[in-house]
Amino acid sequence: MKIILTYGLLVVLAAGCSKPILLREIGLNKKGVVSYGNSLEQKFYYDINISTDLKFNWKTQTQGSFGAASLIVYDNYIFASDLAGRVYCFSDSSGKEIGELKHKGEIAVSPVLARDKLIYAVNNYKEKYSTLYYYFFKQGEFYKEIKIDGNCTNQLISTENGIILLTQNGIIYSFNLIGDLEWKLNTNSLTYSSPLLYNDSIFFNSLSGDLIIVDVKSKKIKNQKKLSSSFESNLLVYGNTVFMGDTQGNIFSYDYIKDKINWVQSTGAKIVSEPVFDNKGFIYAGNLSGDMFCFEIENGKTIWEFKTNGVFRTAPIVFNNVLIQSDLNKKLLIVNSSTGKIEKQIDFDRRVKTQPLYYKNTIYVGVDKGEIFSYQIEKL
Amino acid sequence: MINAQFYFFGRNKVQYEDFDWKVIKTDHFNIYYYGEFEEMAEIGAKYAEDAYEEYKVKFNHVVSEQIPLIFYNTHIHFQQTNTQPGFIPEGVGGFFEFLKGRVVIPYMGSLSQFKHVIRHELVHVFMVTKIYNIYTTHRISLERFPELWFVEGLAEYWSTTWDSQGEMVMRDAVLNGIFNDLQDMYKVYGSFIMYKAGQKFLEFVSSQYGEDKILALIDNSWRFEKFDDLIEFVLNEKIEEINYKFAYFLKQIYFPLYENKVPHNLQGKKITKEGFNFSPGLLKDENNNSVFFVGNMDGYSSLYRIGLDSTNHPIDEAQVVVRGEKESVFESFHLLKPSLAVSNNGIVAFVTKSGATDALHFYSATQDKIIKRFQSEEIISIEAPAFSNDNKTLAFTGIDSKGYNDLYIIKIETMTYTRLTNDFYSESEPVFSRNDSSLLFISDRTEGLFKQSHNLFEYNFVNSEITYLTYIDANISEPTINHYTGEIYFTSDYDGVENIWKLVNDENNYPIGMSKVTDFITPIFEFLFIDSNTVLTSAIEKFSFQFYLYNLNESRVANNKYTAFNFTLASGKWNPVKLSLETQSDRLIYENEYTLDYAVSQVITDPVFGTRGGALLTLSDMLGDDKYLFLIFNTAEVQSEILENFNVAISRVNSKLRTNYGYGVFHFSGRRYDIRESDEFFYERSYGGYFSLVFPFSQFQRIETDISIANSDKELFYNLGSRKALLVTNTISFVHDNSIWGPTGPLDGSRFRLMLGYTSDVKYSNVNYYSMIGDYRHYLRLGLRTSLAARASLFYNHGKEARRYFAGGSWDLRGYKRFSIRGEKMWLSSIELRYPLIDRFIINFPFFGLGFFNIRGALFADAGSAWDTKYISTMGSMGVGIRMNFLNAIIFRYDIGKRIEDNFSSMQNGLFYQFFFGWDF
Repeated sequence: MKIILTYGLLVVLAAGCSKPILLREIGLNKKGVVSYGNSLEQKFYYDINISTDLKFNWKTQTQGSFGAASLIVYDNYIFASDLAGRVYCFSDSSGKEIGELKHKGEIAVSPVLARDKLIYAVNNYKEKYSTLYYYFFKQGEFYKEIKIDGNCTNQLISTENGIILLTQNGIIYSFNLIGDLEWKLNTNSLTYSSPLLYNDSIFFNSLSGDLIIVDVKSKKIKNQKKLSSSFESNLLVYGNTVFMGDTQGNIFSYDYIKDKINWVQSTGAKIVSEPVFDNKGFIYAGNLSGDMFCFEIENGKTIWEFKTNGVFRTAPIVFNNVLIQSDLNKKLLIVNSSTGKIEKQIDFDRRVKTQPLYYKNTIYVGVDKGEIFSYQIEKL
Repeated sequence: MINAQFYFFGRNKVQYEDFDWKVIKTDHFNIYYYGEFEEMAEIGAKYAEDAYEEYKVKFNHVVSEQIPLIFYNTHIHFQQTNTQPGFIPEGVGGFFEFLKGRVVIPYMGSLSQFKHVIRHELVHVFMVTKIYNIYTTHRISLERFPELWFVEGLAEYWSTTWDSQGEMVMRDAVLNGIFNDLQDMYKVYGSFIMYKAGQKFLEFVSSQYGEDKILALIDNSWRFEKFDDLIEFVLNEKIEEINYKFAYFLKQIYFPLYENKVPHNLQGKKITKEGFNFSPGLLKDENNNSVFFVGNMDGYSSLYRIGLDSTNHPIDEAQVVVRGEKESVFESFHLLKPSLAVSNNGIVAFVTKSGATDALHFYSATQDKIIKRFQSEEIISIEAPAFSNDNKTLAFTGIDSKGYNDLYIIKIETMTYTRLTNDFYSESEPVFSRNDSSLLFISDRTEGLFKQSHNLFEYNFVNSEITYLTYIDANISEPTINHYTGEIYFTSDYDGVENIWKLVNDENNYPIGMSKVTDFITPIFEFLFIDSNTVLTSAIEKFSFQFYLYNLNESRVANNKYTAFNFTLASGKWNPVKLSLETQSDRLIYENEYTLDYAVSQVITDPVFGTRGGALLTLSDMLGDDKYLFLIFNTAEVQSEILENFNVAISRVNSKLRTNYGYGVFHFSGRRYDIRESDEFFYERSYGGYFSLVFPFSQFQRIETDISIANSDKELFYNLGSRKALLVTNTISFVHDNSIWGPTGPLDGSRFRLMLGYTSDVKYSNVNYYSMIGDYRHYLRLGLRTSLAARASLFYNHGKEARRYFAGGSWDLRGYKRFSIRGEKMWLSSIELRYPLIDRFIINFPFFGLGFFNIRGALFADAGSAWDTKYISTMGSMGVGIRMNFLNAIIFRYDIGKRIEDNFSSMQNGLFYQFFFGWDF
């Protein structure tokens, strides 16, 4: 009996110990979606048609749950960060866990994969600061830990030479790939907006209703324009135009070169996600009341809208024929992008938290309690 | 109520009604209602669904399970709810209960209030589920929670706008120095002021730091254990700095009021000193006037009288005329509602809860007795009685089973009533016009631009038409006719808080506006004319409501405020929107839905008795009417004994109806350490069943009966003897309890239990005895917080193998070892003086502080004895003690004294010192 108990205890202890992420054999020039939106401009549009039948592949689980971030993928590996302070690596074919890194705090945004490094920010438990981690996943070692004042809940931008981080307090940090601070700018603007980089400018909006554009070369604010009472959303840049939604539910189309508001459309409820455009001249935006809209980019004309009893707090991913939208109310919606009709919905037992991730004919989505689902789709 | 059987005393929660529960299933709610309340339930369902849509955006969150929303049509029915075991006081307007996530709300006669309470409780639902989700997803312990003032403040902040009630309590608290900043929250903890202070703080945060910070306080709640750290982090400033700013914010709002407004105690003459005093009514007399009122000065709400001399000075202290809360006919007074009227011929009409509904009592001041009583099953709740000028009729408002709050009149001679209105509008405070041809009343039937505002209306008895007398975007209350001049006065919160205004008529006697008469800083709750220029007001001061006399000629109102009415804006008719239910299948008859309340289990291993385990779990239905309790544990010491050492008890307790019942079966076995024979233990296996019935006569009295049948097999280890018995026990008890409690125990009232029982071994005749218990306790109030408590008890078992009683220790015979006095017969008596010693005792260390509250003193003398067949000796003790209430959960007791020994002939050498815990007897 004692022997059984002892072995049982050892098995339990062993299961409780996690192994670190160690990917010795991984190549450094593989493809993937290595940061939120996978580009400096953070696009969520894919110029393909897909089937509306999502075939379940596998399900796996993390310890905590997710913020509104998306998963990232590199080569044959899926990376996920959770609100219990862990970063996980899974096999994209089976969902089997490869390894994990553990911290005391919360990881609210997607990690960034930059060459051989995994870079992510932890909001530290019981502390008023956050920590930016550089981790060598080929060696399985931490390389650098950098303390950052305040909360890191805005997505990181992955650049060719490093990352850009914007804290909730409105401080922009630019770090190179070895974790050295290259420059820092305090914009004195509180923000819940994930920044994007476009034409050497960083765009974000602020809680006080400003659009702020920072010139990366001069490291100075080059444009600050009050457009609303408050923004808490991410934004989208398309040519000379910035699109974003405010806390009142208005979508703005603003020409930042001409300093002119092209159009404003009301959706009726607070917007926290970014609009997404396609190559047909439309943008798609959802709000926290569970309403989704399609507008003409040029003039803001409403093409269609639909209402649900859910909550849309992440942007959809958009294909030529459909868009796929996470609904906090335990659903994943597949919507006809021409008509706005819900073609299909997948019901979950828990809240759907992450933005869907598309990669190699597969959709990945994270739901409450840290569950990750993988679905196979077909290109048409 | 059946819970009462587990307690020696205790008041009863009486189920007067047999509710026929039904369920409406909506997108996000299961709405439970009964009887004729369907229309209001559908309106409530619409409020709830609208609130859900709003809050999912505000909280950025969805509640993923159906929310149970339980509606009662009146507060009186709400007080019968079994969703929580305790008594629900008058002031509670609804609650969210964490165990099953239930929201329980009474309808109080006003749709706007109904909407507010639904929204308030749903903020709790969203906040609690969101925080729970945040903590679990961050893998944080669920034990902590944001401060209560934040929880309630947010529920107010996101459910309603700032109103005159909030303004009333905050003006009183801030200007009297009671509440200055966040550090003073402990002073108002749990009170209505805390709700409003929390709401004000969030208003401050929103205006100074941004509305987003409110949700950020919830989103970041996982991060810090101390709420102050969380506030500092989210607002990005030191807590001291935030406090300074908040204090400045409050002072900026409230201190300028001193410029042109006056406090009541400066311009009025205060005629009551303490307690909560409401609903004044004037009895005119040739010699001296009297004011009758409803108040609570000593813990019991009662009808009081205070005499005035010819100059309207109080002659003496207020005297109790009818004591409430001691007998069922006056079960409780409704302090916060208008509930008293005095006729010209000396009749005082007042409202109390009396059994299943409210009752109107007619007290004759000349005969000093109740001469009539009105009570109807159809009118559940009654408010605002008002006599006609000819004293033949009395008007009031009442709520029926639909929840409609309407106007009624009674012919006093015949006690027959007539209903004047019958709709969902909320009517209140009727008064007869000067010639009794019409009734003035307040209603939210206001239409047009100022929809749902409470304005003054007139009901014409000739043609039953209702017309506007005022039309403003504010609330009017307390219509009062100055019978000396014929002018109509009322209070209005038009410019902040309720002050007295006068109706202004044109030359055709048609109302055209209102002019302000008083300008007090804090509101006038109620008022009446003593003479043509003197009013008696009820107003708040330092959290208490006192009466003031006030001369209108000395009134100081800046700028002679006048507001004109524009009745042309009163167009249209408002109707509440109901939730449309698509199919009849959405309306269901309620069937018991049992869910787990709690479950605990434990496996223990010790070196002597090995490994044992057990579990306790309870199930109950959604309405809490029916409960199942399961207990299982094992006391086997070797493997072969496992089956026969299973201890199992299964009980069902049903409290749906007035007669509560419970029954169950049990099997217990194992070693017993009978406390009366401390050196011996024995093995006992007993199994059987029981059945209990409890019938409450009222909140204060009940009868209990129990029957149990148990097979009992004892084996005495050392004597190697055994005893078998099939025990049948019958008991019947009468229990009375109308005591009210202070911080450490009862202070006033009385409690007693008389029990008779008979236990017999019907198979082997090994056991056969009868039992009698008489236990009486009386509490005589000497002052507000000082009381003399007395107890006399006799416990008597007689017969074969009669069970022994035991005493000794801090609870009864002090100075003796706990439970050391044992016998089949026992008597006990105690007398104790209970008095306040220290209200608050705080030690501040450099890094933290320790506070001790409600420390009370006691001076006591005890006597008693216990014996089996022959009386042995009388024992006693006397001494002093100290008691401290710790977190309202446990009372620490420390006594010092001397035993009276040797059959009460000598005192103990030295002193005894005894520490224990428990409430006073």
